[in-house]
Amino acid sequence: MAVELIPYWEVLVGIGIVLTVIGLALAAAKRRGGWLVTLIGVAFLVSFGIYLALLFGGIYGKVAAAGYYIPNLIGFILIIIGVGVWLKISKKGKEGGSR
Amino acid sequence: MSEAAPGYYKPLAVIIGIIAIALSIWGSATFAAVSGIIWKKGPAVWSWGAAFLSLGFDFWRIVGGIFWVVGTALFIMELAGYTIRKGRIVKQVIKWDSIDIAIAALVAAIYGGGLVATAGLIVIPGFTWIRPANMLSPVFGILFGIPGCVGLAFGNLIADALGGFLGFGSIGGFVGNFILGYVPYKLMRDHSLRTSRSVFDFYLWGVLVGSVWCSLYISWWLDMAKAIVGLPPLFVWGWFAPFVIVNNAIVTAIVGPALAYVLYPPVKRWGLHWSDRTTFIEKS
Repeated sequence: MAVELIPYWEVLVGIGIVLTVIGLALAAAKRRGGWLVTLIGVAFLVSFGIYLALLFGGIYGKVAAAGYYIPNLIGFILIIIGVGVWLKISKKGKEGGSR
Repeated sequence: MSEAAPGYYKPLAVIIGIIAIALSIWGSATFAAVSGIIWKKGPAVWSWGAAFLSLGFDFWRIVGGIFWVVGTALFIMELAGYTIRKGRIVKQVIKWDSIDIAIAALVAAIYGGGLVATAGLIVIPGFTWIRPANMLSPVFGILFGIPGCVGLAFGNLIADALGGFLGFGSIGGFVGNFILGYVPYKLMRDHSLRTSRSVFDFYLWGVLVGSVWCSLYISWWLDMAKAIVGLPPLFVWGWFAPFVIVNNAIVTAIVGPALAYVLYPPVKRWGLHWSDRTTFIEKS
């Protein structure tokens, strides 16, 4: 079955690759914001990866439509993970105290 | 952070709160009344859409363009480690240690997850949906500063991918959601929500200005890239732009202040507040 990608997907992937490379170069040169730019680039690539996974799984864009609650479920799991991370670093903060 | 505010801020805070809540409820109610026919009959059937369109595309392109240029410049400046403080550009040091990265990750997960959780409530197919999690954006911005704002940008991108909205417009959404947290973080003087001045500032910068800036930023991007994204200017400025303002403002105006009020003390106590983690290098 042929799967059609979103229009101009190359731009999104290109931005991800370019930002990652620039970020790594900045980080290697110990310039400000290098790792942050790398993270942004990686975020674009990861998002495209999520898109591809959902697309080839046949559930991209089928949010909460009949029988397709997986992306919504992933959303709830993400919230739980986020709250878990918050509690974890809060514990660290409690141990260390406010600076 | 908390400081005594002049007495006139108390009535001002009440007035701006009422205005923000009333405007957003009015926008939502009038939108809900025409949501079934807006796609067929055009955005002018919605009073907010008609009001936006009455100003003309050129007006919005100029105003949106100014917001876009300033927003992008601030975004790049912050990424490069500089910020505006007391009217001057100064260096800021964010350690980006494990705690800062964890803060960005938790914000991305909670915000992105919260957005995806309601991604089935589609308003403009492929572009936006009803997003109650938007109430978190100014709260995370004022609590966590730049790591929080970066987390908001990541969260929105992840939500776009998971919710079926990933596209060229997501690039505008990335910076637009950063701005949604950045405006109150940078422009509120007191982030505690414990003084009338702080509440006034939250409604002014976090609800009204932040929502408008985010909306115009993304709308201008969609309009400029119409050949790629395919949404006609009539829908960008008559539907998307006013809807995003209302969508951002309604939950933020109603729930945001209470949420920030509750979360501020523990975040401050645990040393996670941006003011405990960011240093500014100001030349004398």
